[in-house]
Amino acid sequence: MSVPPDEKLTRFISSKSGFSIANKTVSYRAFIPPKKNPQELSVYRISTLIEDENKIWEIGREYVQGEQTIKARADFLAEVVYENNLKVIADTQVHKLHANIMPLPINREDRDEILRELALASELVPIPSE
Amino acid sequence: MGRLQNDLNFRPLPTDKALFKKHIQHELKEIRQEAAEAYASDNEIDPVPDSAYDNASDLLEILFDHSIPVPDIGWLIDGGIGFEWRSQHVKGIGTMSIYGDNKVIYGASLGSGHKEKGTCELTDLVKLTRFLPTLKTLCSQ
Repeated sequence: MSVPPDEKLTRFISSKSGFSIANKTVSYRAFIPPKKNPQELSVYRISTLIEDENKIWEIGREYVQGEQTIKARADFLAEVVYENNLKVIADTQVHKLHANIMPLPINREDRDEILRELALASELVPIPSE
Repeated sequence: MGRLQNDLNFRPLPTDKALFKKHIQHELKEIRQEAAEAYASDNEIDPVPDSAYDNASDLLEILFDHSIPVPDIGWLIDGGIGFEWRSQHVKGIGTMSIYGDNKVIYGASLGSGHKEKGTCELTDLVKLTRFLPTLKTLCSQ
């Protein structure tokens, strides 16, 4: 099932390398997929959760966080994905709001071009301090 | 030299090359430690090879010699080092990705809509320096 272009998506960020607090920007590095699944980028659909930020962070903590804690997230609209000729496909096996951006190009030069656009379109949301 | 440092996105750097080299070695050392810790705790993260740090250091020297502001530097989950520049007043971004194979994957998207991308050998200064004016434009926007 495709995700509508006006839906807000988020990518959880665990690495300091993925964002800059000083510049309030998300880095293209936050969108690089792991080598084992290089053509899929895991995201969550958060349009229905905007009223309750805690619920968004709960998803990050429960379904994304590993040994490295979640530090921030990159929020962006699905339309930027479609503008770059990729799809956002709901993938509810992990979570009912989980989706994959695909297919990212295997070629890193082409892939980085898309990741730059995702980074530019993203709003950085640092995790609130407890 | 007229470095483009009037932007909060770009950090001041030593104007002396010896000091600059010391500065980047320190920064790369910190990134190496952070990447190693991440690799040890997450099996989806690829190790960054030593050659990528060597290539990153060489590339930073080339950029210094061409008066390009120091980028934001970080490790990449698929085993590389990534440089990033952002413009302050318009939506612009430039990147370089390095994986230790003596190649540089570069690209930029300027606020004007101008886009550029390419891949070249680290030693191919002719091709590499053709991209640098785009970075200078980006950093001045």
